Amino acid sequence: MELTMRRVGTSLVVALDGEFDLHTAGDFRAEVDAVLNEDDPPQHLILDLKEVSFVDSSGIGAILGRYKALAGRGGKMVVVGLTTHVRRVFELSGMFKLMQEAQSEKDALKAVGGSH
Amino acid sequence: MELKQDVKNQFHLEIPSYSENVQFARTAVALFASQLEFNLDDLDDLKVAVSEAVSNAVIHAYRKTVGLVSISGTLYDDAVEIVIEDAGCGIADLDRARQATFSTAPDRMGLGLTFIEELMDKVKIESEANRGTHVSMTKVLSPVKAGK
Repeated sequence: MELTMRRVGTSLVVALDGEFDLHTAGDFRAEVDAVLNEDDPPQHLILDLKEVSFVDSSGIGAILGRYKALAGRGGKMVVVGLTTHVRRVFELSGMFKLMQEAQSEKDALKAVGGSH
Repeated sequence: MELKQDVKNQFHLEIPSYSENVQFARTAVALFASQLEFNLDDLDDLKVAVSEAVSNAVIHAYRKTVGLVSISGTLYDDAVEIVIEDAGCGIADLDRARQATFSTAPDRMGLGLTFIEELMDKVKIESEANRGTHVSMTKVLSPVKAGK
């Protein structure tokens, strides 16, 4: 799974491309954690999932782990670009109780209230 | 060879318990099942269920070593049955394992078995300590799945 990250104000925008499962979850964790543990870390995370063609509980678990790291210091996570399948897995795992879905990156940035 | 009377097709795969093989397994199963008129949502559900069962075998069955995971499928006129089996350590407490969010591995959600039971029409899980685990799951083809 390919991963691109950009800092936009107080947010980190992470765009994923591919299938998010047990095999690819490790790299996602490592790469995002490296940025979250920097000296001046982003406060919020916007996950762009529009090119994610598959997700299972391993992928959800990796997303949840990063959510907990952010929430612990008052940050928010917003997801963008969910396909029908990805939305179903989010619903099954109760993820929408923790994070919201936005229709675009612009709306997501507004939702976290980040400056840019 | 001759298949049993109501069996349209079948397959059997054995793969080492590498995490790379989870994608291969679920994709192969979805392709096999697509020989029936399942809609895309049903095939996505099937891929998740297979992914969960195979991931469980990869994570838990052989602990720190590598072992074989077998995946077999049987296609009937109106259903597909998939069996995922390993000869690993087994599930110590199956009732507990089936509870959402219980996991013996750190940092894991423990939702795998919950997803399988939610997404498939029939599920049977058998496990014996040090003998292995056998997960059988069936997806039924339905012309109308109102409300599902």
